[in-house]
Amino acid sequence: MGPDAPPGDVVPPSVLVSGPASTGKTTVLRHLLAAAAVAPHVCWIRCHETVTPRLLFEAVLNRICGVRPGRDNGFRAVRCDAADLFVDAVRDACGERDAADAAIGVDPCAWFLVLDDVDALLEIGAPTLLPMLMKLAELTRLNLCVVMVTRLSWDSLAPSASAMRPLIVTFPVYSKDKRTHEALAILSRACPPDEPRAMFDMFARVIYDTFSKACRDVGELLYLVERLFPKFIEPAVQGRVLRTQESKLFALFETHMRTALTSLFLRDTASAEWERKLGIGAGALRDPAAAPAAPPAADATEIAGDTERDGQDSRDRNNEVGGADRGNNDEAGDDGDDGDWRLTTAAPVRSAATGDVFELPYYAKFLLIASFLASYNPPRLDRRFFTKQGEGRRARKKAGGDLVQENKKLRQQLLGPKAFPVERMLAIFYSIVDSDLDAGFRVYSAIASLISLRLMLRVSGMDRLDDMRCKCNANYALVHRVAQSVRFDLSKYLFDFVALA
Amino acid sequence: MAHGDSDMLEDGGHGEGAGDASQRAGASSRAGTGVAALSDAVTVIMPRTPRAPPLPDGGFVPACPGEAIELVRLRRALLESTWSALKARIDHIVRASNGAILGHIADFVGQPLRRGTGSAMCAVPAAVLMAGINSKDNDHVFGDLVARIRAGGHAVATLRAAGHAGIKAVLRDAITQLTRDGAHGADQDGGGDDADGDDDDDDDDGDESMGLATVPSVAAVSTFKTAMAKAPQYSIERLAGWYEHRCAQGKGGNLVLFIPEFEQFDAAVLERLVRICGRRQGSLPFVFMFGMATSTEAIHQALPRSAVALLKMDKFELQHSHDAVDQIVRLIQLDHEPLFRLAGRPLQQLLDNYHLHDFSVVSFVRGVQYALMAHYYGNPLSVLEHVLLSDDGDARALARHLGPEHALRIRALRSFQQQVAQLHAADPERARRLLSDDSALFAHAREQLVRLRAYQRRFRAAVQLAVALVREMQARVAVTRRPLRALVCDAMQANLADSELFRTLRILVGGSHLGRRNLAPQRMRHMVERAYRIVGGGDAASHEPGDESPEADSASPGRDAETREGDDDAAWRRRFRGLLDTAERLLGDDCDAGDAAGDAAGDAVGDATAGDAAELERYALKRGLKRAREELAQARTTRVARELKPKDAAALVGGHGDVRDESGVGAWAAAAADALFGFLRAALRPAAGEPLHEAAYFADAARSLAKVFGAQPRAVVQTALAHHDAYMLCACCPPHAGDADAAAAAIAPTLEDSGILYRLYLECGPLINLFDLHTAFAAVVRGAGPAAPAGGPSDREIQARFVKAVSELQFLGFIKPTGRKTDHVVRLTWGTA
Repeated sequence: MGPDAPPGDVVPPSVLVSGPASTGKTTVLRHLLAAAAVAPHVCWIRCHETVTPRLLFEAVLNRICGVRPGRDNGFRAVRCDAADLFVDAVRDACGERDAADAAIGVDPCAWFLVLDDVDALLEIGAPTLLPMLMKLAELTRLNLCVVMVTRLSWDSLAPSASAMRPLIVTFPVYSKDKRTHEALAILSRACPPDEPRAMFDMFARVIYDTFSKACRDVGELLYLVERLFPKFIEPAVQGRVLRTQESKLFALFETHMRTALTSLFLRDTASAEWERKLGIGAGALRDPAAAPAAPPAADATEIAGDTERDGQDSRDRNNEVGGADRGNNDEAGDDGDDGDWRLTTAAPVRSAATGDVFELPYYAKFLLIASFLASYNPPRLDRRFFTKQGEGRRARKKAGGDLVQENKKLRQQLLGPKAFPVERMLAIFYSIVDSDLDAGFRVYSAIASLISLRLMLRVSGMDRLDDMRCKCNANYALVHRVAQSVRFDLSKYLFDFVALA
Repeated sequence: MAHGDSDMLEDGGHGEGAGDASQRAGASSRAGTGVAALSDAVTVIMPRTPRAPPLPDGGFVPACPGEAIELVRLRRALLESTWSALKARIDHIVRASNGAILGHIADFVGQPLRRGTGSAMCAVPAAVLMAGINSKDNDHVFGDLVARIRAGGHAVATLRAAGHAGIKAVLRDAITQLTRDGAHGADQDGGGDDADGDDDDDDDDGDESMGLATVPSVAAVSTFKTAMAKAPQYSIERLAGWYEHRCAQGKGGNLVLFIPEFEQFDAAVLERLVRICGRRQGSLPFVFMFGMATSTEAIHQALPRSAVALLKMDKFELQHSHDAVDQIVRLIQLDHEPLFRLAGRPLQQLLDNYHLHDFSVVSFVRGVQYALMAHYYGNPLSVLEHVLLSDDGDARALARHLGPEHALRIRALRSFQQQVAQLHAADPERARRLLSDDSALFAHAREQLVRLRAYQRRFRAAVQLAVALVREMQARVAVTRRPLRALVCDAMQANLADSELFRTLRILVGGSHLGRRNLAPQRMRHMVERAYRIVGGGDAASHEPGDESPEADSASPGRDAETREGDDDAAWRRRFRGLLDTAERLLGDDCDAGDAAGDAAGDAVGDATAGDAAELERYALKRGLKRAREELAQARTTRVARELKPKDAAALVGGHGDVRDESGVGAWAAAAADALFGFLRAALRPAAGEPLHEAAYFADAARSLAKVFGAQPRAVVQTALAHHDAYMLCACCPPHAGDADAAAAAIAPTLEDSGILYRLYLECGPLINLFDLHTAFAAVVRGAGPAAPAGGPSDREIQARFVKAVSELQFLGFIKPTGRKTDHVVRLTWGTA
């Protein structure tokens, strides 16, 4: 089914294209099918969108019939919601199209049904759907090929052991071969047109060498290259360093790279924000008027087009304008009264990884701590931690000592949170809150809001109103900071810490 | 939903009904919407009462016997006008505070996105709004935001977490909202289409026969025998078609999907939605907006890496609710023109609730509203301000309705009694007149209210000065971390000048009796200038034209009190003016010269740069703060401690406390500090000492705020069960004399069954034998003793009633079944002993 093959060739009934993310499966397939004369006979389905079988059937038939729901036809489309009707409809529709083609003297051509991200079809709750689709050629007696694109392997996708095995095409990870180095070749395509290619290649190689240990995803690497290059080149643009002084550039760049390494995959600081902080965007680096020459399109694995970069430019400029506004508005925020009433207050708790403000009401903080203690402490040691007389008993201490021995391999911190009854958590809560508290129902509403914030997870079903069981979903770092903000020494009450000390 | 639940319970009994209802709740919102479940539960408890007819005068009744109906109506009118004015200003605070950031978000969301068929690398922009944990608070902010984005020509769909069972429901909701949005936002002819789009909603569940919705095929596919129908509302194809049309009309715009409660949204559904939008980004410009309560970590918890890689996130921090509360407190306690204020304790209570429990601006404002309502509803003296102070003729006319009941109330005020007691020594005749003559009393009250108004104005000025002082210090050393709301709250309760903070500041700034200073004279001069402006001198806009020239004496006797207060102000003004004049003579005009001359360390390093000087000053201040704290600590310790360490302390204090220059700068600075703190001390006296403050300050003597906003369901249930008679008001049951008697008294058989059982339950141990309980119950119901009436209830009836009562107790959470012993239940309340 290469581009040179005649369009009427007999095609295999089903093909599975599999390979890891960002290995160019979809892109190659698109180019292949667009290049051949089969283009009008291709139904390209994005399986994430077809959330019900009906949507899938109708999408396929709409493509075959050339119908698009729109204003001009009153949003009408083919209607089909059962598999048997679907098979009939496909046979009729394709047959008629073929007949129409034959009438005007066009050679008969195979049909291609491409199911992109076919694994999404597993989730829509129709176990017979995939086998049916794989047998579609057989059922409709058409020259039809179902191409399934997925990141999974056939074994995890196979509907049953007896299912017909499709023709499997596997896309490998880009090679690291010194001579060709495909990944690097792709990365270097992101080079802005007015920057020296050699320097950019060196930059891309450094990025690749640094990050490839943690991340082989070319898409992610490309994202990094695009985001980090403006930072790398910034000193040169400002005229502090010459573009030829590469070692100096890399030395200046090192801190940025370190930050990027810690937030790899997070995508939390978007380009716009980085560039706003810098005050210089990719748009300032390149003259958008000088339209970049399109790179040669021979390589089928082309990923980033220039159109995209242009869009990026305008986005960046927008954000720069936004950034300038922000400064002005901050000043305008002061009230017109003669004097500013704002006082410096205690810094809020911030999340370590993302730096977001993380504020909870005082008792909610203690509830969170209590839930953490309840999740990570064994219940039988509650007496030791939370009562006055518990500590004094020799026998209990001995038992604790044994526990340490037996638990040394399996610390609760490593095992994850345990479910606990809410009553236990409340008992801990009342014992760690220093004040004499009569909060009544508000504690329950605080629990409910903690659950809605996903800091606690409800383990028991919603029908168990009277013995609710929960789990703490916050990690140690967060709870530790929350505890610090209320001056509570978490480590004193945490079994893992006390036992190992 | 809530309605459904209560119906279910009413006709289905307790057990199965409750279970079923909550199962449905669980099924519909998998993402742990505990809050919704809680409110459902509240609905279950509430009895359904017929809507009462509206009360005359909005439910306002005379607050004391003999109050004229005109004044009752006036109280209501005052409440409504005051609250509506206050509410408008509070709304403005909340909205204005986020105005700038909303503009950025709208810009971000409205940025033009690349179109055309495309590469897979194109990410969906996502604005992450860090909104704080109270999503309810943000509702109107979000509403503004959505309106603003719509005004920019974009379509917005708001996807709430509740009620979306799956991706299909979410898609349908999103597409319906987006297309409808475009319809009424942009084109008029879309209305009709929208209507039948809704019809389609109902019939696309797939259970109807195909023929019903099938229409004759259109020309393009007339050759096929395939049926044609409207594309389902949840099909993205349909959205694509709609958007194409919109673009053809030259409108375009982005498609914004707004998820206000990210944490509560089903993660799997969200992931799918992100993937769909990511793949379609080439043709449909989707933009996400996530309202986050916690942190962006939640995104990484909810979405897998491959889905996150489709997003291009940008963070926007909305204004924290602390700032809004600060401003609201400032508005109510300082800036508000009517005399109404919250007294210290209710304010403290509201702030405590805010800090300790919910961080909710909405509930804080609700508390304020309640306080205002309670003030005008329950306090007949709340009309005094309007009736006596207003220049309006109508209001004056109402003054004739003030009668002996008001005079009685005024004379009963503690603050008035104290004043009279003082007056008695100075002017016994006047004191006697006040106690015997009502008209003299009202004239006096008017005078006092005028003074109260002046007091409030000065109080505001003093707080402002205090804040300026703290800010001045905060710029250099961390003297305090108390926010404005806490400072105001402190000031309401006790004189702020006596607080530890201001004693520290006092020592830090220095003064005549301390003999050293840490604040450069130039800064001191700056502070005095501010104080002068705040008190009303100079070019600063003063609060009232009459205040501008207090010397121009007003002839009207009513102005008497005001001018007296004005004199007081004028005295302070003169004192500050004098200080400023001296400063001009001593320090000259040149700021830098003054700084250099006045800097404690300026002479030692004559050629130090300004940066060094600032550094030195900061260092001196830090040292000073430490010393000041030590000094305070020493003052607090015992005499032994004081006597042990006087030398060290003196050395410590005296070592750096250099009154270096006798040229007058030091003396001036000390005098300025004395003046500043003298003013603060005089103006910051708490309102509790002011005569007649009760007419304007809501002190919440009945602690109604706590009761209204802190419901105690358990206490209510227990009271209802133990004191049936108070609720039923029936003649048959003997009323309870008291708790002590209640325990001893025999249980009357006429009580409600659950009441009888509860009383028996109180006498039981941790494990209750149901048979024993049944026997006891039967004995009570039959009437104790041999004199039981013959025609009593049958055994079967008693058993049925017993079972019903037991299940009621179980439903209320008093007992639960146990597997430990047959026919036993565990007692759940009142401890296990």
